[in-house]
This record gives sequence, C-alpha cells and structure tokens, in this order.
Amino acid sequence: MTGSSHPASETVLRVKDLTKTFGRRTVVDGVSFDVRRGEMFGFLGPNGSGKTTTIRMALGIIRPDAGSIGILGAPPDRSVLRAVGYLPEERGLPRKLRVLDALRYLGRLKGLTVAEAEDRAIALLQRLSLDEHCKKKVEALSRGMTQLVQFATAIIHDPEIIVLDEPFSGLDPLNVERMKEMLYERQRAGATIMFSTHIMSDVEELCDRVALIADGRLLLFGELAEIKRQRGVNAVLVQAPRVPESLAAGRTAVPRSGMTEYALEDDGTAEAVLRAYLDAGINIERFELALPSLNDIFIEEVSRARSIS
Amino acid sequence: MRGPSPELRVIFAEEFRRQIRGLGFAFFTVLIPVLLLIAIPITPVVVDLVEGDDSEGVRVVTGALRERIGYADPAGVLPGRGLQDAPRQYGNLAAGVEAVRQGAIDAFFLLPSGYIESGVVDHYRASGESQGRFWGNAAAEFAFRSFLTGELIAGQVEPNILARALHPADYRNFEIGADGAVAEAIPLAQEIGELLVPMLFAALLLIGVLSGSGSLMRSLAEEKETRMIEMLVTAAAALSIMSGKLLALGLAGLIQIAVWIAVATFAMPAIFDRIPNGGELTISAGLLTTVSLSFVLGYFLFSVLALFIASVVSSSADAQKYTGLLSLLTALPIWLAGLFISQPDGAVAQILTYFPFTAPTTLMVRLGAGSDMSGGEIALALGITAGTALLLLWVASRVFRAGILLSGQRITGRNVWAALWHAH
Repeated sequence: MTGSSHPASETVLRVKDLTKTFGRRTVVDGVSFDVRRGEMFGFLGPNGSGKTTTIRMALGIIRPDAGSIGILGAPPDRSVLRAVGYLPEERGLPRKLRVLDALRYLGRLKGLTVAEAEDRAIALLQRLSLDEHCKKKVEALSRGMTQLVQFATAIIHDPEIIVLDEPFSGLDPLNVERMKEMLYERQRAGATIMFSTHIMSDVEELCDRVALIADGRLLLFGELAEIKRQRGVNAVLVQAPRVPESLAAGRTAVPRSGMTEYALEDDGTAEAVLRAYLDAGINIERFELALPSLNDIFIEEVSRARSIS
Repeated sequence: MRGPSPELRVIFAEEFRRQIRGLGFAFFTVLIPVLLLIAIPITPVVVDLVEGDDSEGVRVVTGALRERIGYADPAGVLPGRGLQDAPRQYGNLAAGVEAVRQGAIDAFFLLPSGYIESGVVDHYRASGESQGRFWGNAAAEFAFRSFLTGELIAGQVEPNILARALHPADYRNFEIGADGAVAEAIPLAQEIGELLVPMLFAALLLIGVLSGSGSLMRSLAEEKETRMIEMLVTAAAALSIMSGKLLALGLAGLIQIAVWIAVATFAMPAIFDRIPNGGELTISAGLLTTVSLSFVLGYFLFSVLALFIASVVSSSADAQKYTGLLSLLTALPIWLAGLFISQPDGAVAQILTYFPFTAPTTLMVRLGAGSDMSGGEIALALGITAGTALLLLWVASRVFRAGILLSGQRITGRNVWAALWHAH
C-alpha cells in the first residue's frame, strides 16, 4: 500500500444510491461511495457484480435509473469529463488505426492541440517502451501492447481522475509492474486513481480505500486497513523451534513462511496460543497477530451476501 | 452564432482522414474517371465494330478488322472490284487455311459452289482462341456479312443507291400532340443523355453507399466492439460523434462525386464526339436538379441508416452482413431497370418510388426511363426520403449511447427498443 501522502480529503468522485435495471434484472442496486483526491481507490467485486455498469454510469456513458453522480462537484458532463481518463474493461482499438494516430486522436478529443498530443504521445510511448511501434497499425501489436497503448490514450491528457476497469487483466507481470509504476507516478503528480479488479493482491498493494460490491449491492466501503481491523485478529503466527503438543492435537496449525499459523476459533484466543508455548517451555522467536487478508474478506463477504440473497 | 464544438471538429477531421485514406475511397474515386478516360479512345473502335464506317458507300469493314479477314470465292459470285478496304482474297481453301495457321489473318470465309442457292458460308478460324472468342467471331462474321451485302448488289444498282442501301436511314423524330400539333421529338443525344445521366447517378449512389456508408458502419461497429466508443463518449456528445462522422462521410462523398463529375464533364462530350451522329449530349436542367437531389438525399439517408445499424449492431462482423442490406436496397431499382425502362410508371416502379430506401434510386431510374411522373409525385418521393432520413437520424442519436451496451448481443427489435428506452 502506498499510504497516500495527500492530506486533502476532498471528494472528486461521488456516487449516491446509484441504481440500474436492465429488463427485470437489477444490475446495480443503490450503490454509494466516494473517491478522494489523490488516493488510489479499489473497486472490487466478483465477475458480473455490477462494477463496469457502475463505472459507466459514474462517467455518464449510460444513464442511471436512480441516484446521483458528482465528478469534481458537477454532474458527469463533457466539461468535467475532460478531467477524467478512462480505460474500459473490454479493450482494443480499431485494428487499422496507427498507434500514434490513436493517441493523437484521443488526446485532441480531450482538448490537447495537435502538437501537444503528438509530443505527449511520443513521450508516453517511450515511457512504455513502445516508441518503435508508433507508426504501426494496432493490428500489428500484441494484445498486451494494445492494452498499454490504450492505457496511454486514457492518460495522455494528464487527467485529474483516472478510472481504469480491470487494468491489469491480460498483461504479463512485466507490463503489470510497468503500469503500476506509471500509476504511482500519476498519483505522486496529484492524480486520483480508481480501478476495478477482482485481483485482491493488486488492491492490497496499491489502494488506500476500497469498495466491494456483489450482485449490484455495496458490501464494504472504507479504509482498507480499517476494514481489516474491524474484522479483528483471526489468526496468530508463531516462529518457534517446535509446536507444543497441546496445540498440535487440538488446533489447525498451518506452516506459513517458516512460521506456524493458528486460526483462532470462536473459543480460542491469541493468549491461549501464547500460553501453550510458554507452558511447554518453548522459546518463541516471533509472535504476530494476523489480520484477515483482503482475499479472505472478499470471499467471506461475497459468500455471505449470496447465501442471504 | 456558435460554431461546431471542438470535439465535433476533431471527430470530423479524424473520420474524414480515415475515409479518404481508405482503400475503397481511392479505388472508387479513381475507377470511374479511369473507365471514362478509357472509353474516349475505345468509343470509335466500338462504334466501327457495331455500325461499320460507310462513309465511302461500300466500305463496311474497319481497317483493323478488315486486315484480319480473308476469303475465297469458288462460287464466283463476287465481282472482285479490288476495293481498297476489302478483306484479303485468297485463291482457294488451302491458301486461306494456311494464312490462318500462320496468323496472317484471324478468320477465313469460303463461299462454296451453290452459295447463292444455299446461303451457306464456311468460316475457318484458329483453334484454341480463348480471349474474346465469342465477340471476335461475331464481329468477323458481321463484318464479312456487310462486305458480302455490298459486293452482291454492287453493279446491280447505282453507287449512291448502294451507299444508301448499306446505311438506309437516319431518323428524324416528330411527336403529334393531342391537338394534332406536330413538333420535333427530343433529339437522340438528349434522349441518351437523359437516360444515361440518371442511370449513372444511380450507379454512383450504389458505389458511394458501398464504399462510404459501408465503411462508416464497419468503423463505428468496430469502435463499439473494441470499446473505444466508451472513451469517445466521455470526450464528446453522442450527437457530436454522429454529426462528425456524417459530415466527414458527406464531404468525402462530395469530393468523390466532384472528381467524377469533373472528369465526366470532360469525358462524356469527348465520347459523344466520337459517335457518328451522336450529337451534343444534353440534359434538361429540371431533370439534372431532380437527379442531383435524389442523389444527395439518398446518400444522406443511407449514411444515417449505416450509423443507425452500427449503433445497434453487436460487432463489426455483423455490420459487414448489413452492408449487403444497404447495397441491396440501393441496387434493387437498378436490377429492375429493364422493367422500369419498359414500364416506367408501372405498379412496381410506383411502389418502390414511395418506399424510402428504394425511392432515390427508383426516382433516378424512372426519370431516366422517361416516366411521366408529376412534380408533386417527385416532391412526395423526395420528401419521404428526407423525412425518413431525419427520423432515422433522431432515432439513431437516441439509441447511439444506449446501443453501446448492445455489443455482443444479437440485433433484435426488442433490444433496439430497449436501447431507445434507455437512451438519454
């Protein structure tokens, strides 16, 4: 996690009670959250949970049936959307379009002059190590390269807010790292970044705050660290030469990174685990309280929501 | 007064650039002028082949063709006047066959004994010819028949009678009005012009729809398929996107038409100059105006239809399928041109005149075929075309944004209706 250095808590994107129904299916059901200036915001949810529809509504691409949207304090019309860079989920660019032309076109549409658009396009392509492909048609690029080019089209105008729908899917690890570096750069330069994903490790690495939706409903929203703290300690990690017999018999002990993890059952406490080691006269080299992982929280919350529904 | 938005200008410029850089645009823009320019030198050759050149009375075979034909006359019926333009005469069958074999001539005709009674002429030619075999043989037989006609009656009649027999009539046409007044009919050249020009415009509309509207539809569908359209709609209003694309297509089409008309203005008179008795190609101003209006409105209608289809279609592959629909609607009246020429005011012609998607081409073809449509009927057909285009533009702009979501779905009336319902 970056631990954003931006003190401001100004809201740059707010959705309130957003609802969308297609036919008889409610795809987004009263979703509310806000994104603050300068943060990296993770928008989580399983496949088909309504993330993309929410983003489309937030950016004015489709109209919500109910609810309100505010971007920089205004409805999502063209004037404020100039401050937004958007990377859609299902990616691609017209095959016959040249890479430089695509960047110049999108840059011009976002208000850049031809010269500005070209200069920035070339700089971005260099940054993404794609400058040698600038004259090529999109059809000549690999899928990953096309994705990076489209990412470049989303940020060519140095937007205040960058909204990325599943930005890392389909990229190889090298390109994922390259894109993450560029996102950090943008964040350091003051941009606000919101991205949707169902890859929890990316969120834990990048995001300050998150929102989780499933089946169109908001399940969680807030500071990631706070969400974890609210869940409480659900395991302890102990590094010691051996495991006490009293614990080995009654508890689930899982080896993890040279340590032993004990899940804390309803009747168990961290103190009980510690006492078992001390009573057995085993020297403890390291003892940690483990917060639940985002992955655990995701699975638990989504499963619970689905069992209720 | 506010000018077009910056986004509209950017989209217009980009779309125009794509249109004129497309292979289809370059191909069709160049194709028509090339065909017209080729037609100029070819016209006299074709005319000679079809009509012959009778300027010297008995000279019925063109120089080029004449040199490639030989004959022998064992029947002894031809006077053998030693005409400069006559086919080569050989003494017997063997000499003629050898000349064909050696390539000195392409066709050898033998008038066997008993020819006068039977009319049978033996035609010898090299085997294995493939290119233009049918037309080459037909032209040689036509040319030799003309030669035979002249030779058979030569000496029987005066030379001037012979010349006239070979070209017996140049018609002048008169029309008798209901009141009995007689007036000279429209000159042939004008009749041809008034048939040709509307037909040409109809064909140009078909080509324009195929190259312009088709590519517009495919490109928009691809933008939807690749989701680039989502990036576009966060930068520009749906109406700006559609207007920019339409204007770019319109300008590209106008440039294409301007090139065609400029070349045709030079080439058509040159072609007519080379047709004996071709006269001066003329067309009435009223007809030209109606045809031009039909063309412009038809082009607009089909461009809007292309945008509408692209708005609701789910992929560029599907869009490709609908290109066939566009060309079918445009081409249908051209396919029925034979029927319209014989019955320009028949029931089929009238029905297709008032169906918006066939109206522009049907109007052009019917007017070319000499229909007696009134001004009111023409205005109604053009009004239906324009009205449908505007209505479709309104519907297309409504479904455009919601239609973005239809990617991946099959196009049905229900999802078009849903798109219309969910539209902004």
